[in-house]
Amino acid sequence: MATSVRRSRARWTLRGTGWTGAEQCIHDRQQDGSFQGSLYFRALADDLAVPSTPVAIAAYTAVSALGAGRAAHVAALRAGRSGLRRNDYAPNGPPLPCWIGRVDDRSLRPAPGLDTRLHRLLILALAQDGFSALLTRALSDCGATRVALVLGTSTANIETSEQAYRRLDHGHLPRDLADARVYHLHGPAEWLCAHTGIAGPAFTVSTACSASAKAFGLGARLLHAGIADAVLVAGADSLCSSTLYGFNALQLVDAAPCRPFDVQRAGLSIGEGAALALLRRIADAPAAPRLLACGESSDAHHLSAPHPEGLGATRALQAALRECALPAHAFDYINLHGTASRQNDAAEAALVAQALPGISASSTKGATGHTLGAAGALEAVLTLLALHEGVAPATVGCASPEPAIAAQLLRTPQPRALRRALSFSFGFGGSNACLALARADAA
Amino acid sequence: MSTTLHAAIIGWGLCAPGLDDAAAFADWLRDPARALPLGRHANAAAARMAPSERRRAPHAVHLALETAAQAVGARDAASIGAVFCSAFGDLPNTDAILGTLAQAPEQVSPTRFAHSVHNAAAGHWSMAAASHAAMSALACGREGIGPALLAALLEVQASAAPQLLVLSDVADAGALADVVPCSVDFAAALLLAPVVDGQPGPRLQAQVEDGQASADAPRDARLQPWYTGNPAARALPLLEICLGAAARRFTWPLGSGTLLTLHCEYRP
Repeated sequence: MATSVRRSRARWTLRGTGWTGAEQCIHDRQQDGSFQGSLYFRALADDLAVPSTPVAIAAYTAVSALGAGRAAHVAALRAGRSGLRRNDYAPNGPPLPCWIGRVDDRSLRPAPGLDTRLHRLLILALAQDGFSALLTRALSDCGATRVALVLGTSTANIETSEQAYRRLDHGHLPRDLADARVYHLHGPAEWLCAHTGIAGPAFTVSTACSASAKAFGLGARLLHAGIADAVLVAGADSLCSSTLYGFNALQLVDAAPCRPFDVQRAGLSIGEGAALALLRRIADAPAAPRLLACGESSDAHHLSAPHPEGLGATRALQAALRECALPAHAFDYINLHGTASRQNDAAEAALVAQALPGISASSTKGATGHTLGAAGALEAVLTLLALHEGVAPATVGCASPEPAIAAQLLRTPQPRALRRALSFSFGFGGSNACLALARADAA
Repeated sequence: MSTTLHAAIIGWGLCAPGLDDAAAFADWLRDPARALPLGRHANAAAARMAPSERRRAPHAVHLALETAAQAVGARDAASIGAVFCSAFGDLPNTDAILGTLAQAPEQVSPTRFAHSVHNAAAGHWSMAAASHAAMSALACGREGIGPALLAALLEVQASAAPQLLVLSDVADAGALADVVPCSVDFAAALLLAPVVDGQPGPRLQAQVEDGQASADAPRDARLQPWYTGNPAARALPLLEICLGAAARRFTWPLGSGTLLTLHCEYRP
């Protein structure tokens, strides 16, 4: 890989000007007046094969329906266990008849400053695997203003907004819930900065179910540009009525536990969770696993349905492979998006069979439920655990796999050494991301 | 380590109450006798959208897409990436969904729910522009212009290609007005591109520094109600420079201890 990176860079630094190929191209096009031509932009996008330096994932952990922390998740992955339960989240009326991935309420503690279910999930995640202490050390080593936060979420604190709307007082919010951070998407990031002491740039990425995967991409760019020396990437979404009833209205919720890639699948099971990753430059954490690339694309097809042939998803994969200058066969596991919706799994199965044949793949959503905005980061953590522990996770809940993907879909956990892996995340709005991850010795 | 990020602004757009585009805004700026229109923008054209999509999409999406289309102009948008940023999202849609969930949760509208994602505008833009490029949707609070500009500038630097930045927020609705007040509709879009030496037009130069940002107001004091009334209107001083105002230096917060220092000038 090192060789190909060097070759590619040389190709793009031209004529001793110190310019990249793209800059040279812009200059040339400026001279001949075709700067704004579409062919130029398209050629540029295709040719921008500038591999970016990987970044280190110095620490990572998660909480989900499978439990709190890395050990609980590893045990569940090894056993092929599901964390789904019959829906008992019903703050307003009878519970929707479905299954959910709920974090055990007995493990949640009140969050100081602003107590919401989402903040409780984040506090629980910070308390796992010494993550809080590692973050504190990064803050003191780098300086608080050199640590950035990129939080991916789809619903933020809306669970608490829903509580407030259930007891409006003459059309006004109840006094005890009149904190703006409950009602806007950046509220949890503001709270998390105050709670942890992060004083660097803070972003909330909210691109539905790709949000916390794309957060890794922005985090890496902040490190590459020298804007930050450490980046906390977080993904978090809590159970709430909005998503349960909203997906139900779209007829996307299965009454049974979700069955990713099963021919009988009938929709998703909503989950919740929080996942954390601390990104550093490789020199600062040389033994840590690596984020090799974050490929991103748009479907340009439909707001709430994926492109039927997975066109956008294929572009995200291609972007990731270009960015890390590796061929598809360099990867030995794929964590699929695999929501168990009819359309997603059909398109994803076709894409994987066509572009990534023979590579072992699974969806972990039958174990955790679909944690929506948290899914990208949660599945990145599960993928890192798979690499670290040498176990390829099972597609829990799948009994009769779609024929297109049956040959490579894992239905039971497989203990074996894994070096590099991909993780797909697709969201409403046709927003796609593909993370490429590797063990430190395979980067 | 201090990194300087550069970009040219090669296109811009605006939608605000009573003013449909940057040309109308320029006319307004030139006429000191005119008062500032307030409230909602009547009906953003968003003519690039397919009629069926346009019909279903809410006003917040129309507003963002109209300004995005203005900034891109006649250029082919098919491979231009975009950063959309809205502090509060589609407040009327959120208010309606929260109201339904409190009263009769089973009656949540699937169309409203599909449009409740923060990247609804980004998704519709990718369709309208037939662009498969990466699009982000950020929410970075009332002072989101700093993080949004930084994210877009990083994309310009990383890709050496143009990048669209769209800032939009719509007027508040219902009980949300208690805590996330937004008194007017406002959207602005900037098409950023790598700087080419000698090229005329507006330019940005940005650095990330430690410290607290100072307040920056538009030059034209009549704009103050927009500037304080809608987070996206933080872009007004940049639009003034795009329309020929003198160079300025801005500081915008990025987090509790960092700020974006921005120098913006119009190169003749």
